[in-house]
Amino acid sequence: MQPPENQGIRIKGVTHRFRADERLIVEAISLDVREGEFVSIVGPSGCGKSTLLRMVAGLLKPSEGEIVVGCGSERSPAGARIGFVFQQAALLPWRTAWQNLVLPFELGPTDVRQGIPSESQIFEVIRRVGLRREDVHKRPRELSGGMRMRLSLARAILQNPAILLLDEPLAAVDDILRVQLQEDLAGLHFERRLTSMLVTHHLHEAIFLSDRVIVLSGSPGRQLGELRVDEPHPRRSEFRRSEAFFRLTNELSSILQDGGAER
Amino acid sequence: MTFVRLYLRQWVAPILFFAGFLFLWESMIRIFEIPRVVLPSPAAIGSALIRMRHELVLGLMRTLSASMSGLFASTTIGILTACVFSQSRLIRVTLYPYAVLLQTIPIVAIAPIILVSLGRGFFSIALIACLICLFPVITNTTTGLMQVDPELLDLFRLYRATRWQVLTRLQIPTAMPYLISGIRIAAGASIVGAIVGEFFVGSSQPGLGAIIQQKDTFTLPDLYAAVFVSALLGTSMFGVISVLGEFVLRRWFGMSLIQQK
Repeated sequence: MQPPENQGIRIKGVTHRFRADERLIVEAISLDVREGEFVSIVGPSGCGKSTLLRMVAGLLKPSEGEIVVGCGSERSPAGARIGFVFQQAALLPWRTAWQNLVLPFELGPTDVRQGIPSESQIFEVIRRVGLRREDVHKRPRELSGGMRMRLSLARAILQNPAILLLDEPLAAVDDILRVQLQEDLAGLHFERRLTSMLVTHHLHEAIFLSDRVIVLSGSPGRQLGELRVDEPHPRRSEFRRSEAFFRLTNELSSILQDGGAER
Repeated sequence: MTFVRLYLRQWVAPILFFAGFLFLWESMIRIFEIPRVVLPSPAAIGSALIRMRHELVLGLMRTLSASMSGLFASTTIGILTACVFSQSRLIRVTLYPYAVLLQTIPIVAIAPIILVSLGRGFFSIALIACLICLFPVITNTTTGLMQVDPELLDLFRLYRATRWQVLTRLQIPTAMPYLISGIRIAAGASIVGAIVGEFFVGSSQPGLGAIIQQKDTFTLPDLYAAVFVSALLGTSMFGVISVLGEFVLRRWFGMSLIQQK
């Protein structure tokens, strides 16, 4: 299979089965994510959205099919630098925010490890995600849920990744904060134009952030359809209140309902 | 240090209970005129404690050094074993039954064998203490090493962490509260181990175990005094390890055992 152009993602006929009982989790997913594109995956709980994302990250191997990320080879998605934001922020509780930020630079075989960024680069990323300088000395339990998520995002983008994978990063934050974090994410995407894949069960979130929304059916996850969002970046809060947003929400709901998937 | 105050506060009620218990005990002895050979009074035990203080302090030091050596050895061996166990399911499944076996063989049965094989000295007593401590350290630490958050494990895999990096930067810090709990249990057990060992060693350099063994019904208050010191030593070891463990957890790992209760 040809590698996708530059830092895109190519998913071709990917199926994943649980090794224990051969149960199908996702079936025959094919998807191309262009470089700089923001694609969301929505679908009911248990449809394999996160499984798909973990396969893209190289944390799981597809049972069938191929995934090529950036200029990586078959089933070796780590050909591109990947930033991953986990649902629970995945911070080491015994490390300070700063120590959590530099953790990825301490990991991996010596020959492939990146050098730790300069202090000014780290502070710039911290500022960019909306954290304060003094927060870097705090441990995760001293930070609020939103701050922990911002820290997790900072850690992901500090790698200077070509690809950003977001696994329901805003699922655990309250509604007001979620809207604010969505706008921050939208701004970040506009600035950096990272190839991004977001898994979410919030339709509004998917529409607000994405260029395309891919809809999966219930277990096993199959592609039901996709929705193109042509609104230009950076997305602003006015977009949420626009007629287009309501129309897109209705279209997305229809795809889910027509495909038999329940939200 | 707030947590030291917290621990001290935890001890207030048990100490008051003990004082009440002693008062009741002394009253019963006086009211019912229970003979000394059946049950000595707390006052008699107290005077035995004062009379035997030199002997008891020396015994205590010997027991303490043997049990501390055993505890140190068991902690080292236990952590290393748990690290090996955590690396492979096959190793764990193959060797874990032997760790259980070690725990189920009565220590009073092993002690004489060790003393016959290795001699009636300090080393044998420390080894008996070590054996009795090993199981809680191994099981607790192994459990802790296996409790790693799957998301964190994914994070480490994403950044291509080596096995060593996963062990040292993720598994061992995760296991710290479990390890400290294990050492805390082992600390009390190590005193029991050392005393059992001393029981069989005899009187050349008597630790608390040998002192207990030498006493009989005619010196019942002395026996109670030695038992009391042994219990006090075990409890103190438990307390000291609790406070030290809490300090280490709070200072370097941002965790606490107190909050988990």
